[in-house]
Amino acid sequence: MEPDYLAMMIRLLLIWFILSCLLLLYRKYFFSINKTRLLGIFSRLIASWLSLFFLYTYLSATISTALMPIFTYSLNYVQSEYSATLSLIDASNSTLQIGITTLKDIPPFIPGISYYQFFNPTSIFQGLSLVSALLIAWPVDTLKARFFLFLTSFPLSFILLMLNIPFQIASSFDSTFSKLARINDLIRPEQIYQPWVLFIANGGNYILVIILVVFATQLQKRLFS
Amino acid sequence: MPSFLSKFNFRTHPATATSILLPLYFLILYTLLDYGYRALSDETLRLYYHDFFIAFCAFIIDIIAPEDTVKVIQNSIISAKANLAIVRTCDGSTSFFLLTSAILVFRSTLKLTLLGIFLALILVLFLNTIRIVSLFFLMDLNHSWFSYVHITVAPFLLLSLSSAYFAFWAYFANEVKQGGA
Repeated sequence: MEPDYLAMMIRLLLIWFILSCLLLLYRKYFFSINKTRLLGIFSRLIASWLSLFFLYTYLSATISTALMPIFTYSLNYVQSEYSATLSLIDASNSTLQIGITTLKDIPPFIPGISYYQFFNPTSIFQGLSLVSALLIAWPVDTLKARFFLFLTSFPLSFILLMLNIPFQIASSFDSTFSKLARINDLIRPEQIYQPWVLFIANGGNYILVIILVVFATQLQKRLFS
Repeated sequence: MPSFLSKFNFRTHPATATSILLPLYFLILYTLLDYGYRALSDETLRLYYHDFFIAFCAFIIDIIAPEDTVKVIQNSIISAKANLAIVRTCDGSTSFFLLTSAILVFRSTLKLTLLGIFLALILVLFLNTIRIVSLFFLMDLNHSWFSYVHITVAPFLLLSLSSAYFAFWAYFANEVKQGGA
């Protein structure tokens, strides 16, 4: 298969831009770090990431249950073609059942049709561990500042989750509708959220993590320096 | 605005130049290494690298679990319980190219650069062997965790340990440059 050179160039330019911004922002900081601090950063990063990864994997069903009303609301907010209700069908592998009732014409579906699909959010929860781990690993001078970064990781993880879950569920339904439309020789127009889903699926999630971490560390710097 | 733009005058602000040019050189180097690696045929890669690496992993697995009687067939490690195929993306080349590019861009003495690249190679081979051996056993023990380790845990550990290695190497190279070591 021929590689997509344009996509590769865009990706490389974006990485260059991000790395340059990070160096412009933190260059002095990075170069003044000593051996002990380096050891602290990486040991905290690896230990916290692994712990959080295990925690998110095993608590996936509990988190899904607790956040179900928010997931339902956000899914109904990002799209207006159907009304959705979510339920946990299997606590052991945290699979969600998403039942929908169509509100508009979604060829070949007519309004009022009920349909359901499954969705497993575990990999999205696992992805959250990077934000918290980076903030826990971030070198700070006081315990207060570390505690602040730790606390900040909760709302930031929630923001990251909300930028993923509703769009990915909507996208999985969109993919089914597109396939059904094609089978019936119909064309389903591209949905407004599709570029966003494409962005987060192609490394955009890491960009979001970097933005959130930069935001938290800059806030901590202003509050505690 | 003009005062903001003046910060991007490379002559008066060499730190800005470094911050912009270092990542550019790093990406160019990485892309060239990756391109060169992709240009190698599967046969060449197997003859000079994969066959040895796969045989070494099978040897380690055989030491840990001799009752499994593993066999190497083409690019796969096979036993009665598992069949693990090792392809280009499984051989640690990405981590090694990232480390090599970062070390070359950092510009240290020739001796330290060569030592840095050599140790990077050893580190990546060591970590990747652990990864392949772990995946082989996980394939039989727990399929969900095989998938998690394969897709997320192992790449994260490889990347973060490689970053840690580079950070320490750069710290030491910087000390040498400043005459502190």
